[in-house]
Amino acid sequence: MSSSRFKFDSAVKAIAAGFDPQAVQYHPAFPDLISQPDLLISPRPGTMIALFSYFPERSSALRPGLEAVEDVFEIKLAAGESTVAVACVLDGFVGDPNRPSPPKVYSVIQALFDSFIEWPKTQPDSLAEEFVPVLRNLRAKTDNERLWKRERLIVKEELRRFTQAKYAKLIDGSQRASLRSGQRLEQETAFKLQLLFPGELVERYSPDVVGSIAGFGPRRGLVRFDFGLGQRGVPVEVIRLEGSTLRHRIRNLMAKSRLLRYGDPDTDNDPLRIIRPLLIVDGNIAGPSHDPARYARALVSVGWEIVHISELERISALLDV
Amino acid sequence: MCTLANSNVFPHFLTCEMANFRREVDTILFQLRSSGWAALPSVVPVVEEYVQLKGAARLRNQNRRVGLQILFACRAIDSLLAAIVNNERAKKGQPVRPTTIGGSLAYIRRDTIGGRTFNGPTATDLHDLRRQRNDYLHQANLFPGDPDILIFLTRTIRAIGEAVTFPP
Repeated sequence: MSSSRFKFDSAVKAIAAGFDPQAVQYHPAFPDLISQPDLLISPRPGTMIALFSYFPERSSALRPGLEAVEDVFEIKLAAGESTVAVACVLDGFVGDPNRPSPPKVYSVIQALFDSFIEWPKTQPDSLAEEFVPVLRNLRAKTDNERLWKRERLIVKEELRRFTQAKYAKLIDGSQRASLRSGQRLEQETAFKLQLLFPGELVERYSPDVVGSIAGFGPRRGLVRFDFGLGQRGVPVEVIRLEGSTLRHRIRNLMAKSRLLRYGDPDTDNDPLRIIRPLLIVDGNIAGPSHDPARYARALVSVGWEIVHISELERISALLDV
Repeated sequence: MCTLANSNVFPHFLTCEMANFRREVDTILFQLRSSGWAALPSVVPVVEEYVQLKGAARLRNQNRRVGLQILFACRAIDSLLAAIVNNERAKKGQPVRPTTIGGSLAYIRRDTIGGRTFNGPTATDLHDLRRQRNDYLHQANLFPGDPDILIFLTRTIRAIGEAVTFPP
């Protein structure tokens, strides 16, 4: 365990100690959540707080930030819009703390979570004393209520597309990746897509989304995809997936799809046109044995259409639905 | 990382999934107790039923364990849905009456709970659950094995988790 993680775990335990033991649950497990909160707290009857902790990563700020975006969407949908979502981040979570302005995704995270606590690496323990009284009185942001309700309707609608039979090949855990390297996968997929959709393929596709989410926007260049079918406005992502990296990749992909679609909740009565990005999978996205369709269902619920790399000829039919 | 022993009783992957299932039961209990539904007197027995479900996991005899888990899980979801439906009936000035899971699901689909119904996959799961439990409850000496009971119980937990997000 890293020293940062150890200090953070100590601080989380110190927070939990400020509440009745019956009002706290460490490391919960919601069946449909791709990533779980670190702590649940019920500070008063009828209220639940879900606390997520985030640590600095070596890679770019965009990826762990996107996963945090997905976490808040998922907990609000799984546990209810009134659930209070709290993000606790250590310095460095979004990369260089000396940057003159935070990355865009950082601002989105601050807007989406009900509370956002930055903990310096040096003094996490002392902040627990300040934080417990704050937690006792926290409530979910009413500004974001419409966002969560709209997302719930969209998820319900998108799930109409889902049947286990349709994605049988993708949730078959015995399907191994056919290509050894991600770069070769992209090259071969690009070649095949050019044949299927001549003149349409765009590389490094970053759709402009004019609008805002949770009062933050407009968003340009916030999410990027491997390719795009330019004329249809369909983002395309190609992944080679098996095993241990699966859950992180799924969270990242889900956040990207959600961030594509929202307009300003104060001015729009209807959501933006639902953009269905296309995911091409080499390997499988099988979930646990008692719920192998879990990740496929999750991806479809946020708008992805998914196809196995051996079945690219199905794409036209899928996009026309 | 799953470090449970008894790998001579269950394959290791099943032991890990059982451990995760126990966490899921703890979480649904927490969610029930801290939800807006917890204040409803008719939901209190549902919470108690899940406490019993949690205790049943400790039984060593597989058939007894599975039999009790099916009983507690079925009674919990039947009772919770009935409580939710009758709460909605009362809000709308409709008569409150006992209702089976089939009646509850039909009401939710037709009349909604505060505008909400179950998502498609959950509705499908609930339909499958009704069929499976009729098999288990009406055929002597029929006990699902551990992978199947996990699937059955996880479906009930997912359905209860979604129902608890309906507005009280």
